[in-house]
Amino acid sequence: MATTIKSTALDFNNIKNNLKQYLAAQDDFTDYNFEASGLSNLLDVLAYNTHINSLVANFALNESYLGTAQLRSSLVSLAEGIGYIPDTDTASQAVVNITVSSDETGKELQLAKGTTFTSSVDDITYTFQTNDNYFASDAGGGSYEFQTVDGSNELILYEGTQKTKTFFVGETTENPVYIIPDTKLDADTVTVQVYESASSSTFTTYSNLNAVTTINANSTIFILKETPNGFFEITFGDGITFGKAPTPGQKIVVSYISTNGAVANGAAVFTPSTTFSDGLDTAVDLNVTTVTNSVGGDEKETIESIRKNAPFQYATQNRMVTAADDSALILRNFSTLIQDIIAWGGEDNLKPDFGAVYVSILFEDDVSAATQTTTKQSIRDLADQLAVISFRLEFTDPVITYIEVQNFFQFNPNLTTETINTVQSAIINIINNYFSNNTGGFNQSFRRSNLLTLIDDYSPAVLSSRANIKMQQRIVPTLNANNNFDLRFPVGIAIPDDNEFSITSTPFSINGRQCTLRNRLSSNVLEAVESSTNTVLVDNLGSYNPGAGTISIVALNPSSILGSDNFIKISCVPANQSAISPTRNEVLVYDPDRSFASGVRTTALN
Amino acid sequence: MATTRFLSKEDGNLQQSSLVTSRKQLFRDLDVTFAAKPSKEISVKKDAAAVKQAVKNLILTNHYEKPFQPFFGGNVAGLLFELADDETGSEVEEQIVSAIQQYEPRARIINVDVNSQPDRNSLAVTITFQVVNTLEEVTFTTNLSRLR
Repeated sequence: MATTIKSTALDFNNIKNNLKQYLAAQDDFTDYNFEASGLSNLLDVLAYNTHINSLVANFALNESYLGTAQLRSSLVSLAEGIGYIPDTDTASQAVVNITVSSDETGKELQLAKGTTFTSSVDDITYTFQTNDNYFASDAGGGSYEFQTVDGSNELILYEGTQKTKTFFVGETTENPVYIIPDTKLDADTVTVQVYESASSSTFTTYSNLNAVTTINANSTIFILKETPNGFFEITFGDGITFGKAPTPGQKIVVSYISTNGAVANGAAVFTPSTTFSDGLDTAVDLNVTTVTNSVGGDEKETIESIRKNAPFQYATQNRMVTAADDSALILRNFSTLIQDIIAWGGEDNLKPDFGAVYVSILFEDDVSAATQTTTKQSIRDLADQLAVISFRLEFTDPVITYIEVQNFFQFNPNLTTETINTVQSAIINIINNYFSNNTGGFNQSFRRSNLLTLIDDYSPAVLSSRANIKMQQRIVPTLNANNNFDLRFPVGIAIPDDNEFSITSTPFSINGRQCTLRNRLSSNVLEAVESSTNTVLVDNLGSYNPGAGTISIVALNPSSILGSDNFIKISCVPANQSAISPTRNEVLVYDPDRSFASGVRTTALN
Repeated sequence: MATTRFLSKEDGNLQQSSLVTSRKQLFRDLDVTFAAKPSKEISVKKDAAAVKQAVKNLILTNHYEKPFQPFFGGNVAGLLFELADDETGSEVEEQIVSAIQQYEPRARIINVDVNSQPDRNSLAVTITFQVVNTLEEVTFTTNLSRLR
């Protein structure tokens, strides 16, 4: 019989039962078991109080750690404690050229910050606008093209609404905090200008703390934070050691773009909201040519993303020292454009290159080549700022290795109402889903047994299954010229066999004769063989190295490539078909065109 | 070694513990008025008084008042705000009977009498019940009235 109250069971009913057990051991009161009794009411109060206290203690403890917090406000606060500022909503950005034709020549025109354009995505109209002033001079005959101050004609339009908040600095109080009551703010578009007085036209532009590397008493910095209710607040330095603080009488003007985020990605046609007249006597139309459709719009960073990224960001200390730092900081700054990233030291490169850091980036599908180029330049600029020691940043493109799956399964039609064709389609879907969920990024392996388990689990009618796996890379040869290619696969290639070809290809023509490339049986030498006659057209087109997983194609001179593609698929059988693990910049992708599932009917029951 | 022989109590061995002749108090509960005795100890309600207090607690408790037992109680206060008609009395009576049968197994209801006093916005409820095991009959009357 319990004589003490257990402190481990903190559920209301458990607590009350413990109190009842305690009273059962006493003689003073006997009515504890009757719910209407006064004693039961007293037990309710005691148990409820203990229950609430234990819940509060539990919540408080959970919300105190990055790993367990559930409230966004807690995670944001904890992340800030280790110097990580979660991403805000990000405005979708489009690159355009803007020109004006006017009868008025020799003018200097200015396209003001905040000039608006509209565009539709999925039949919803969004507002885009400039977030900088752009300038144009007459190129002759009243033809004007707007440019940035750096002379580039590629102007960026941001999706969203330009908003301005004005604060007047009052009497000095301790730690004034300026609130921006907007949850859709894009932090990258925030500008803070501090005017000397309410009526002054001269101002000092303050910089976001994230973007500065040194701070002293005269630094003009502001700190932007997300508040617990999802709004934002701006604070300034202390005026002593941590940057300047606006003084009483000054005016603070904060402008930013309030954005809709990812939904505005993909906007292609931009229509000016108004005609243009600044600098001209007669208003004219702005001519907008889209260079890049809008991309990069994103929602506020999720709590799971904060939980994952904050410790890594903390580990980098905002400095690029190790290869992992590069990955973390690049992802931190360009997360909206990047699907996956990997970085490794030059010493770990296939051909060691000391003093270099290699970075490979898988961009999102909708990021154009032009944006990729500018992003890489921005990454180099970031590396110049944050690198502690001198090193070269080398970009290397991801190497895609396609995986072909030839699946065969034993099928008993008596165990299901589905037809063999339906099951085959379903298995193709399973294969598709397996690759979607498990490959496509860096360091993501293919494992045949996992795939076959999913296939076997589809239906009791699928009694067993097997799969032949091939790796494939693609070459784009110049027609009617000698082409050399060196292909490197993530794993070794099967050694030459006297019955099966380790290397095969899709068809192409040499001198008008349709052929394929393959290795000679029992040899690692490559040859071109005519498809219809099985005649060897070219007996030495290079060789392959099974152990190294490389194929060297020499002097391939195709006259055409058959089919609608402009490339030839070179397939090879891996030495070990059960697992393919990519390293460095290698990525595995499924090739559905060279894959199939084929059922074999049987009456066996197991 | 000497041998001691004993008769059982039933056979007249009165040297053993005496027979219990007094009735042990079955029910002991706190007095929810928390009135102190002259000795400064808290008052205790015993037997029929304890059950009577429990029945009163029960019918004066509304649904959702008791933690984690949302349907505990007579829930009659809500009816005070309904239109007073011929059905009101029987509805209150029904709810009281149902609550006592479900939550107070010590009371066997003999009679519930509800006297509706619409002009005073109140109901006079008289409950007569028997305390199970003791066969003691208890009657108590309480007035239910709106506070606003």
